[in-house]
Amino acid sequence: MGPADSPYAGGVFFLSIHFPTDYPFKPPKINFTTKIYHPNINGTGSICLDILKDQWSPALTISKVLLSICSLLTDANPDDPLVPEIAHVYKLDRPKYEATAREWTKKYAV
Amino acid sequence: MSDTATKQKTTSRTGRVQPKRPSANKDSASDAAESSCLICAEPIAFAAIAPCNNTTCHKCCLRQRALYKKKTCLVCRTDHDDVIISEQKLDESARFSDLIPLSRSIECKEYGLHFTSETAEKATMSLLGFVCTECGATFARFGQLNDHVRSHGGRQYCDICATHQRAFLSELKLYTPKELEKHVNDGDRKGFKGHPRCKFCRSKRFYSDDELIVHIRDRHERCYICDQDLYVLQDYYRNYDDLYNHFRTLHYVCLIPLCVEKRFVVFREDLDLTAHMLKEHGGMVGKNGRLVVGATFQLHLSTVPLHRGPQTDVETQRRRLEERAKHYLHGNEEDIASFKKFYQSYKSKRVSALDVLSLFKKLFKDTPYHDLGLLIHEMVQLFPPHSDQGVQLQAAFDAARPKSHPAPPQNFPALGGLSSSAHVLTNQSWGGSSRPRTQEELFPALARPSRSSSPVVKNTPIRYTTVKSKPSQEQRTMTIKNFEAKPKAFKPTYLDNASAKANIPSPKLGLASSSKSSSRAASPSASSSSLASSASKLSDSQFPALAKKKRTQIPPVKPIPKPSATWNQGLSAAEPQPEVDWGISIIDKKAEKLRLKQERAKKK
Repeated sequence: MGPADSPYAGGVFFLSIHFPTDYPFKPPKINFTTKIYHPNINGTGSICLDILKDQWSPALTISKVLLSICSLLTDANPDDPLVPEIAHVYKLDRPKYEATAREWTKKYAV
Repeated sequence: MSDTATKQKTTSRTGRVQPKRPSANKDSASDAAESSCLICAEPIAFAAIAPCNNTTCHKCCLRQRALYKKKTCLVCRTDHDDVIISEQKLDESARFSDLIPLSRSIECKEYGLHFTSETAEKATMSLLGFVCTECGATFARFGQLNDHVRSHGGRQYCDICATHQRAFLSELKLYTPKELEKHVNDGDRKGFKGHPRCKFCRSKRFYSDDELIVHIRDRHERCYICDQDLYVLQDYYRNYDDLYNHFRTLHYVCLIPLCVEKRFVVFREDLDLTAHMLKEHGGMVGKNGRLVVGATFQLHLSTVPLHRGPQTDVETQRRRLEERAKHYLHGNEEDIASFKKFYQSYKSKRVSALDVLSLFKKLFKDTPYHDLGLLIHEMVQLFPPHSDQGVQLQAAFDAARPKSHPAPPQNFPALGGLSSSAHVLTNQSWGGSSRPRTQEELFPALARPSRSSSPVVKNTPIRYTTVKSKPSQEQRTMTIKNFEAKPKAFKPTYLDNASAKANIPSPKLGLASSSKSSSRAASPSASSSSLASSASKLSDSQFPALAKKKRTQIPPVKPIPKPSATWNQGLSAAEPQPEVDWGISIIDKKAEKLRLKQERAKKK
């Protein structure tokens, strides 16, 4: 579920989680399968999140990772974007970003 | 064996949130005898403690330091040069510094390990050795061991797993040739589909898709346009020639020799190619006859890849409904089960729409009304379009709305309360559902607020009247000023217009004000202003009168040249009047529109 205090509120977002054979020494591969308008998530659903890449720790659990993804939805990181266009809108025209994100949520996640 | 071990780890970790509790309780109950490793969730035989005081089992620690060649703590990611492995049971209160004196005698410099006892060292270092499980012979390298092991009865290790899987030898599995073939080709456990093979370099096998992707990146070509559509591995091509053929057939390639030479000048859309042509080869455009834009462009306007489309398949909808219900019920399994039961019984037509709705209301009593609406909406979507069940449920929900929410107009903003655009969108998505009947039921509900909102529109003209009453006062005082200079040149037009357009109240007011202003000189300005204020107070119906008058004033602006000869006498006085006219006339058009709207609304 999209966090209540974000433009993704009310949407149900599905993710695919793939555990590599080396898990938990290697991070799980997590992708959004529901389309989402977010500066750190691209059109194929890949998530740009440090703990899923080099900052992964074997001590992290899936619930913690999902919590991080939820907080990424509320607070995007436009300084390290995966989709520069969205990050640009996010930085310069926040209301427009929120409107579009809400629109996409209604369109693809409700 | 290692495969199953990792599998177990995976499952135990994924389902960790819930099962963790009982195990933790058990731990505390059984005197913390079986403390388990935070990483692999298996009981700790030998504990490894890092200077950050985080404890793991010796296997995980050694795996990280020896097999992954990393010195970072598994828990907190800080780099440590040395770690102590102890046979003691270390609990959370254990401190690295306390164990330093005990651990200085035995150490492994290569991996920065210190041991508090020889048993701990033996148990740890033996994990790294290549020992035959059958006869106990030791070997220096894995290859030698594998050759030796084969002599014991044909069983062998999987070479690919041995080299790539960061597993200790004891975790690797021995296969018979047949088993090995199955393991390599199709996989021998759930979630493992064998070691992938490059479709061009048939002899090569890779440990996992990651290694295959690296190989493809180095040796073959991938289409970066197709890769943008899906996160899974798309098709790949032996070399650039094959990729170029793919570009030619599925995408838009720039055919200008210079760009063909340059490689990878290819676009997803016709429009992009046209833009490229115009930008890079402006002079050559048209030779290919490719300048036709718009035919395919419209299709690509959507940001969604066409072949994927919005996820509207039934399975996704069903899962979405389930997840939503779970979320609203806060994961309470009993409630979820009863929700499913209600839903199933409604689906199999055992319960009527009204009954199921009341059941849901009880079940989701903590859920905001708006969220319940979404839930019902999604449920309705699950039934085939125009099916009785779906329509009935929606109708029942719509009918029940006023009861639970006595003020339906307020409810609508709540739906779109997030934003205006969201409001529009809900309408779209709800209207988009091919359910004319529910749509009809929805629309009156929508129309009502719009009708009631017409007073809101009325409010704005009231603002205008106040604004306008002021200029009219100014005008009046001005006419009084002008009056002395040229009263008769102006007066007739007013009167003519007023008489010509003998509308209901407007001529009266116009006449009254003009006659008063003409009959009395400067002194009535105060009284006229009071009249104006009273007029503004009077009612809205009198306001349009003013609007009419000003609208008629627009033509006089044009014929001004005619009386201009007479106006020449008082040029200084003539100047402000057109200005006032301009100002008022602009407001007038708006006011006129609003007034017409109001009239229409009233007629309705």
